[in-house]
Amino acid sequence: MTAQMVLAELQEAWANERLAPELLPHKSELVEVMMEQVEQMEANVKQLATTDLRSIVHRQELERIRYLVRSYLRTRLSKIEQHCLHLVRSAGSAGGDLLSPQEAVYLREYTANAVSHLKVLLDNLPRQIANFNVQEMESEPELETHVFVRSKVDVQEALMVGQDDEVNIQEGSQFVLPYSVVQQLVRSSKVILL
Amino acid sequence: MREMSQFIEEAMSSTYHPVTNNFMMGVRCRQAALERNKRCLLAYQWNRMERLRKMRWEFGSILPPDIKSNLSDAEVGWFNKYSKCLATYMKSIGGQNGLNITQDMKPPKDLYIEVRCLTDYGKLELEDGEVIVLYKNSQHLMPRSHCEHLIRQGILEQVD
Amino acid sequence: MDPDEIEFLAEQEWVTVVPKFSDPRVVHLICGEVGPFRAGLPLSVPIWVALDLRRRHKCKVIPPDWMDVEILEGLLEAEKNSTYFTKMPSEHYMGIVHLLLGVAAEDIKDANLIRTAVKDLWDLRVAKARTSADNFIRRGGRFAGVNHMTRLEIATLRPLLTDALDTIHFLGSVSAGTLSFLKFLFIKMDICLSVYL
Repeated sequence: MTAQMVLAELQEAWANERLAPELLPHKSELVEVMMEQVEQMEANVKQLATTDLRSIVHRQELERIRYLVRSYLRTRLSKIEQHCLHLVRSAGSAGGDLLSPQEAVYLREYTANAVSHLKVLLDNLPRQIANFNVQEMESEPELETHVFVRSKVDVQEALMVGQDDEVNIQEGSQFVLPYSVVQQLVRSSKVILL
Repeated sequence: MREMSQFIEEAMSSTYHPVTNNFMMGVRCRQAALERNKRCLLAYQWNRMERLRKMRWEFGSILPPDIKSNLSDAEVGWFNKYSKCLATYMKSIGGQNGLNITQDMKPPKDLYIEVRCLTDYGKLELEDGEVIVLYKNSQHLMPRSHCEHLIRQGILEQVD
Repeated sequence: MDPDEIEFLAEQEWVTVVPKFSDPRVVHLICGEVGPFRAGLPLSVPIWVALDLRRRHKCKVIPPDWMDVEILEGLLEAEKNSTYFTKMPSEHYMGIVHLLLGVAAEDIKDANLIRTAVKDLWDLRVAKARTSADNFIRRGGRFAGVNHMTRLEIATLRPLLTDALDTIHFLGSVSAGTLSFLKFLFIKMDICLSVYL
């Protein structure tokens, strides 16, 4: 895979992550490859005079890529924080590809901090109601929210929308529909969010 | 908080000495009211946490004094823990030096932007080793990546 | 995704420039190769590179073929005559016009006319999008085809449409007996829509 292809995939992952109501499977291998490229490029650019045209253009591209990576990771972190209790409960069942190892550490630490902070508050309450019910605080991603999608492939089977409607998705076609209908296709990068 | 707690105590004790016949109804109502109050409390606290989280991204790991003075000790503690947790994460990604993801909040435009300094800040070292002195009303052409934090902290402002 | 982020994507598109300098070296960017530069000889570069060179007066921008008053007016006619969205010459037609005219208006023939023509096209398409959104909501549909709508148009429509759809779905799932309330809501939304438009 060329660096150019990695960048294109990362950009797609970024756009999908920005638009999906839930946390998507992590793409940390893309991030890592890209960051290595960036570091290497930075070292090369340092050799050039700052007035050299190549240096200016390279530095600008590096800024753009760093923005992309930062914005991507930031978006994911913000979803992890927002749905931390839900993720702690479901991360095991969803398989290992949802969180990167670093994100998994972050989720654990962040959730522990948040829960203990809320528990301190409850300690001040009378014993009878001071129990902390994790489920009460859980905020789940809204999977029924409507999203705009474009398909990268012909989807073989018709997809059910609600109980009675069906939608056939061809390559290149665009739809607005509930996220839950295309959830698996988004996760497997067969459709992109717009 | 303390008032609320006291109120709950009173409410609890009053249900424990009912004279009326519908003892259970009273207890249930009280219980529901208490649970509701508890949820309000938690929601309130949760919202404050959310705002503190945003501030970590805006101001960095050190809170401005006027904001800090409005926080409880527990909140200051939580903020510091959050800050540390985020720092650990940022150190663990993006190679040797980590990756500060609180930078570049907006898509990059020009590499350099024109800024005006709003306070006497002092010396600032740029990426390439150049040192510039920021004093009130001085104007500089600076790398965008360097200015973002200072702009958010109100030390610099962008000149159009 | 906000308009800034969509503009960031538009900046990745490629455009032709005529450099005013020569540099035989090829710049190996991660997104592709740029160069060699020969004064007076057109070459293709990412828009963000074009804009930077142009700001330094190091090149002249050649607008894409479709940035032409006659072609844009033709597109406008076609859009008027079609119930559906017609295909735009670029996913980022609006962003590209905005970016290129912002920095290189002097290089582009009829810059002002182009600006107006694209604005007319945009207004027509967004109005069409709102009308179909309105119909869609009244019909009580849960999905709809939106072929050829561009990212920026979708971003403009999104807050209105998804809020309305999500609310209807939420109420629908609460109970089946909320029909009369839903009707009331449609009327309300109608008012909101007309105020919003």
